[in-house]
Order: sequence, then structure tokens, then C-alpha cells
Amino acid sequence: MPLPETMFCAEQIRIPPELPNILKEFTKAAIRTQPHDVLQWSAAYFSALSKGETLPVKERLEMPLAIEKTDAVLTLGLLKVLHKQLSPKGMVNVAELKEKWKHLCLPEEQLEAILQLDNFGEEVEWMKFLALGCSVLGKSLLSSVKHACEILTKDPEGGAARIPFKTFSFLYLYLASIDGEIPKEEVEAFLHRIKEEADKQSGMVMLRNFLSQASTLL
Amino acid sequence: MFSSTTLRLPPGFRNLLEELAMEVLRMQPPDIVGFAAQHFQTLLEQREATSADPVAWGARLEELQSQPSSQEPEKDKDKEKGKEEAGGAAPTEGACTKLDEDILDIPLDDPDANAAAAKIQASFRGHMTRKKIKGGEIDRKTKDAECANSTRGGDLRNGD
Repeated sequence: MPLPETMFCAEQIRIPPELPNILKEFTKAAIRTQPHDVLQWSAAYFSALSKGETLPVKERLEMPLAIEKTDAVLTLGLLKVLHKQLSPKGMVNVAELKEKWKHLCLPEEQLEAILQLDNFGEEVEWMKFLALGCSVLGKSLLSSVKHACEILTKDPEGGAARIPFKTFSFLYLYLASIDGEIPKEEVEAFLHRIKEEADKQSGMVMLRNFLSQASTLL
Repeated sequence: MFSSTTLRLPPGFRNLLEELAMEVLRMQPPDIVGFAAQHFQTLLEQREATSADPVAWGARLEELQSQPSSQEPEKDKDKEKGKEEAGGAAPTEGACTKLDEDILDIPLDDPDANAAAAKIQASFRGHMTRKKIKGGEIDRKTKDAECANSTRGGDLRNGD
């Protein structure tokens, strides 16, 4: 069979010992992440790998949840990837955020829409962006906070998703201020109740502490 | 939801992977990861400049290969046509006839054969690109033809 000009005899091909593993990890990452634009993502994957940055890879396969598979939109899994990549910085440059966003094959319009929710300058406080990202995923304030807890928690997936009360109140107050329609007294009363619960749980807030109240406080 | 169909490679990924492996084996770069980053960056820039999309190409190839075997002969013809168009490769005419003969011997519904075909096609594409870049290096080509006529082609595929 005709083979291209650089084909040598099999014995002559030197396979770099690290190559098989690189290809294997690359393939596993692709299966788990299911990037919308494989080429864009592959370039980002190896660019991050060569610079020692966090890889644009989901921890696990994310089932498409009734969303049309063809549309690239922000999901919890993707927001978690961004969180792992960007949260260590605390303050994130918008240009860098845009780049990481693009690497995950997400549409720029959606990022612009999220950034418009607050008056950010060149830099974005990561926790605020995370909260706003969650507000895109969730339909109500509390379901947004729930998503944030799921991303921030150190608990195993599907667990209580505990986060420190301090983080919880930051997220809640921030989203409530963006929302702007919840009376101040209500916000304070809610946080007070949660704090009481958290004090009994070594300062941690669990999903069930606030989700049971979802019907009364949206 | 938990069937194997959800656990699959993204469309077009296989082609990218094979091409990367091929380039690494060919170039033997000391820093494979850096080389791969550069490789994909170049492909990305090429796509932006020329709208030549290796992923779309690879996805189409996968689609063709996943079709039932009853359509195989037609499929092979299509691919041949595609190759000729892509390369405008008059000098490979002799080689193509040889390929046609070989195709008759291949069990068309054999997944191994299909995988091998994909590899050959990927290498062929690389070959055409390199040829375009370097200009024809006819000497080496003839050597290849000899090499291909020996049984080593098979060894290569298996050892890949």
C-alpha cells in the first residue's frame, strides 16, 4: 500500500517514551470535557499544559441537560473549570477571562452579558464573577447560591456541599444587591437564620440549610 | 443516558489525535507538549485564515466510516475522489491502482481495517501537505513505493 514519503521501516520509528501517555491523557480529557470546538480546545489544552497552568478539563463527563447539544453555553461543569483556573488569582483580568472563556468554546456574547450585570473595570473579583455565572445557571437567587456552593465546596459531589458562612453571606449579599428587589430586612433576617444553623455546624452552611426555605424566599 | 453512546470522542477528535501523533513521530521534538501546543495553534491560525477545518474534515470521515457496510464501495470511491481532488495527484496514479487492488482484499466491515484506512488517509493528507511545502522530492517517493510493496506496510500499521 502506498505510504507517505517519510514512512520508514517500523523498526526505525522511535516512539518517545512519554508520547503514549500524553496522547492518552489528552484523549481522556477530550472525552470528559466534550469540547464544542475540538481544535480550539486542543490548542488551549496543550498551551495550558506547556505553561503549567490548570487544564481546561472537566472533572467528569457532564450530561447535556435538556439543552440543545449544538449550542455552546455555560454549564456548571464549565464554570467549575474556570473556577479552578482563575480563582487562585483572586482578581482576574478581563482579557484573561475572555481568553479562558474562548478556550472552553463558550460564546463571547454570553460573557459580555454576564459582565454587564455589574460595573467591572479591567479587573474582576473572581468570587463576584462566579456568583454572576451561577446566576445565569440558576433560575432564582437561592438556586444560584446552590450552584456556587456546589462549585466552592470541598465535599464530595452529591454531598452536603458545605461552604463557610462567610463565603455564603458574601455570595448571598452580592447577588441580592445585584437583584435589588429583595427588601433589606428580609435579606438580613435570612442571613441571621442561616448563621444560627451554621454556628451549630462549625461555621459551615449546607445546601439543606437554605434550600428548604426556597419556597418562601426567592 | 448511561449508554456507551454518551461516552465517545468528540467528532473530529480522532483525526486531530492521529495527525498529532504522526507529526510527533516525524519531527521527534524534544518537548512534545510544547510542540503539540504549537501544532494546534498553527492549525487554529490556518483555520481562521483559510477556513480549512481539520475537525470538520475528520468528523465527515468518521461519519462515512460509521455507515453500514452495504454502502462501503461507494464510500471508498468517494474517498478516492476526495483524495485526488485534495492533492491533484497525478504522479500517484500507479499507486492508486495498487490501492484499489488492495481494497478488494480488505474485509470492509472489519473495524481494524477501517481504523487502518483512517490512519492511511491521515498520513496521506500529511504527505500531501508536506509535499506542497517542500516541493516534490521524487527520489524519496520512489523509495517509498518499494517499501510499500513489501509487507512492511502491514507491520507499520500494527506497530503504530
